[in-house]
Amino acid sequence: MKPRLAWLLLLATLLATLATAQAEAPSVVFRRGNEHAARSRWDDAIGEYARLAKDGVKAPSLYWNWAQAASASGRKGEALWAFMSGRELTPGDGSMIREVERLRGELGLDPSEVSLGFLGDLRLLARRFHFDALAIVAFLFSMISVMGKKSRSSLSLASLLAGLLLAAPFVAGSWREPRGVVVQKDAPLMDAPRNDAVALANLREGEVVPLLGEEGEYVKIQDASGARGFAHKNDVRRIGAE
Amino acid sequence: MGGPSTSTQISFVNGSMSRQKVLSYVLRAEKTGSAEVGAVSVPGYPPTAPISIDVVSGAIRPAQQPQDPFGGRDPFEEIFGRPRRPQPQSQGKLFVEATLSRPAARVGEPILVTYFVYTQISLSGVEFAEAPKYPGFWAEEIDRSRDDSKGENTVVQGEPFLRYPVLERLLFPTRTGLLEIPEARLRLVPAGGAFGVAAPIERSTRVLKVSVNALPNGTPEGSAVGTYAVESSVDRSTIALGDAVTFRFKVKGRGNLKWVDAAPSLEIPGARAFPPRVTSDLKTTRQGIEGSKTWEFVIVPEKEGTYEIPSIPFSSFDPATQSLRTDRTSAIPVVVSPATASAPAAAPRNSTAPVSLRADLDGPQRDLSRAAGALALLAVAAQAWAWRRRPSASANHGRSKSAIAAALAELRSESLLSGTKERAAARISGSLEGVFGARAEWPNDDTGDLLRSLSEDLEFLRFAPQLGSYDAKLKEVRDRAVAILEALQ
Repeated sequence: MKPRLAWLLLLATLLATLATAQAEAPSVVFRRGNEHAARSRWDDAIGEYARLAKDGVKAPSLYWNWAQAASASGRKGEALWAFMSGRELTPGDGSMIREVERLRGELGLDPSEVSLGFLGDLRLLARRFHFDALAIVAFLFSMISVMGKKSRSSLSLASLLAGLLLAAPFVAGSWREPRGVVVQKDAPLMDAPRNDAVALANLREGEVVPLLGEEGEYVKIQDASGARGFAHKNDVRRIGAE
Repeated sequence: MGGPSTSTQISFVNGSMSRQKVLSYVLRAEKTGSAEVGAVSVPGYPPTAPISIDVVSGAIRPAQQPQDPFGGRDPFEEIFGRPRRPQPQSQGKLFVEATLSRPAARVGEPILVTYFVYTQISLSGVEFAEAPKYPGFWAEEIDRSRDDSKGENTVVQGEPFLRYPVLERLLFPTRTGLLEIPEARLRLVPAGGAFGVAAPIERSTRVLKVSVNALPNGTPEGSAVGTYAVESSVDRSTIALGDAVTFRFKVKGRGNLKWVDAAPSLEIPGARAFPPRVTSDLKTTRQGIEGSKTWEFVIVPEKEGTYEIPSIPFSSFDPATQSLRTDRTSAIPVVVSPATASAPAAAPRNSTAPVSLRADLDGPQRDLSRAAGALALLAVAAQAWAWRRRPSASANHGRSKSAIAAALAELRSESLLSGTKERAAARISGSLEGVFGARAEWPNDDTGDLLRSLSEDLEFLRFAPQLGSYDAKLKEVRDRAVAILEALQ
């Protein structure tokens, strides 16, 4: 019995190794997606980009190209989601910020309708201006000041406070509620997480909504007017997740 | 039992004739106890409710009228010669009645119940003592106009009455069987009386019975009852891929449409049909609930091509023909063109203009927030460490200035050396302890050594026998204490 088990384990290991060897490198898949996009085969391009995202590739350029393909094929809500996901990865990228603003204008959305909430926006701002790096400098200075031969307690304390202030948006931002983008035009907001539920309203494409919960194939959301209900997961996509 | 004596009443009201036949029986009880007049049934009508009677021995006194101590006269009229006030005109008959538009119905079929007040006196107000109840029915109030409340002249048992409809309700039976509508109590206020208001009078309607039958066998569960027509439409028959088409399924007619809430099933291969939004435009009339109900579906095709929105059936039981009927909408074709050929609003970018693609997979911006968090903890720990070091440093120089000043003032006080040596030594010790604390807390440095030496001298002064003057020694000790404190300043 034991030798048979050992053989099975060996076979499984071999198969796993082969499967890993056959998996394509992310750069190859990305390039193929770009080729599709260059030939205006938007669906194929998006398919390749989605595959990469599903495999855990977190690259701003992936979401940038995805947004370009979605925007070119008329899916502005999806494009806005991709730009916002890319912006999460690289908040300092000015072109991402500009594209989000452009799409917001094209979709006729108010700035508050694409907001990540106070905590989310605060964290994004802190990351954009590298508050985390500045906080590290402040903390290091504080430690050097207090532990040096000539202890400068007031200077050290001031540095520590400055560092804490700079780091505060990251701590506060960790409590932000997840948000999603409505990627489907006229997606219904339903009163229950069921297929036969009653549609309460239609959601605006591109609107950023807080995700309050998840039930099966549906997410509980609240739209800009304050109406709460359920939307299908295919219609509302979580920012920064695929 | 005697009778029956028969009387027939025919009345003409606004050109319409009504006929009433009354059979009167006289019953005589043969023994005391409970008796009952059984239900009376007439073909085509529901039986009446049995009537219970309590038979007692002896005679029943007529109900006493409220006694008037003045015998109906106005005492003030006799004293002051005041003319008698006009009395309310309450000499006349008054009763209420509830009628049904039909004695029998099927489940879901509307029945109109009307509450009338018959009066021979003038009334200033009519209200229900408590809301009427309709067990086993859905009840809908009729939208009434002002003219609906106008009274009409009628004759009941040869006597003229004015008849007012007070309330009309449309009832929809929800279960089968012989359903009862309990009596309703109405509070009627005659006009006149003191200050124009008289005591209200209560009257009750009879218990009404409705025979409710089930819908015929084979009727689907939740089917509508009434006369309906269905229609369907789309907002556009040609759309671009990625756009949505709105499909409306409308049911129009009269019956119990308000209670039909199950959405029609819609499945289109290759397209997503979202759950519908329901809108209705319904009005309750005496014949039923009239108007329309619309289910609005948003359909998003997933691929190019021609789709067909299928025919949707709608089953209902038609009371007019007493039959089950199924109406169907027509199938509607929808053409989905490629996204590039769509309308300008949804048009993609010009495909000749290249999209701005990025060639390489780059890395995300480095997130240093965790490192910052770790360093924050270290920095706080460093501050705590520095704070713990502070007490040993302050043992030499960090004493409270106010405490030092107070101790110096005490040591320089003229009265310090005027008392006994024990008292002077205790005051010097107290001054030093006020600044440096207990002996155990004294620092292990030069100041500490000076303090300990001083303390030993003070102990000597306190306990040495009084063999001579210690003034010089006390002065010397005090000067040393002052020197230690001045060094701190």
